[in-house]
Amino acid sequence: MSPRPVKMRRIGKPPVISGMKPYGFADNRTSSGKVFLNLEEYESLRLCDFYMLHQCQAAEMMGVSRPTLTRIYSSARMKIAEAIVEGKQIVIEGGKIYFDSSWYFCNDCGCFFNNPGNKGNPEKCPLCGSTMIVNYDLLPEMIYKDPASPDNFCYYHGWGRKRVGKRRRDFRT
Amino acid sequence: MKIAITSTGDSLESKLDQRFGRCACFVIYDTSTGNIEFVLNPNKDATEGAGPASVQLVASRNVEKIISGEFGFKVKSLLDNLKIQMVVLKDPEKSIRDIINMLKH
Ligand SMILES: [Zn+2]
Repeated sequence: MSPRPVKMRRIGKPPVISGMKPYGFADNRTSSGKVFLNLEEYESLRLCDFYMLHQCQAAEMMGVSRPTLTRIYSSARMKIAEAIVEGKQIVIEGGKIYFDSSWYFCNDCGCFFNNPGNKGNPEKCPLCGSTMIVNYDLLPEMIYKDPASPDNFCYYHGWGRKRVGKRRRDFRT
Repeated sequence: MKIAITSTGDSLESKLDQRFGRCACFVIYDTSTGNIEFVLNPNKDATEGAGPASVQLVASRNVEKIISGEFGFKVKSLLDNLKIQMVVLKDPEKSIRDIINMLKH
């Protein structure tokens, strides 16, 4: 019997921290254990709770099925709850994932290009040689538009920071 | 450096094929020698697996960069792993000659 192939999950951006530590224990303890949040779980929280995407959208973006996403997401929430309720440290690590390489846009010829291996910052457009290039991640209206994808799924469905921001404001008022 | 360009045919007047896996032809352009080779894509009419098969084809030519109109999800992760650069140009009117001239910047 051949081993089950390892399924890779796509992660948009690496987390900015390796974890979080609790402080101010009521009973003067200094620690009370750790929970290990893997990167798939982190990404499900980022998409579902931070960007407030629907689970089907998050599943699409991570390249997993909807039931798989639901499983990853509930596990993530249980771990976060455990960390808060029991004062545990959160360690973000591991998982069968890969990071997208960073994408750039050329203002001169209008092409998109990636930076394989994310080594250094590209200085000029690989097609026309222009230096008028911008990091695609910094274009807020395009945050979820995948430049290389044939259908630009997320973009055409109107997802992205702008709309999410509006939903959040609506939520508060 | 060798660069692959997806093309609608086997001449310099052919256009940039907007599909990667099922493009009609790959143009392999060698920037150091100026040599241009046309490789007909055997995966053009494949019902499935055209993307990964085409990745294999261009990778076997030691291409470091690919110019096309789109790359599918599977193809993207394969090329990411192979560290082959993707350049996406959504301009079906550009001819192969135009693109090679742009590369000569
Ligand atoms: Zn350019």
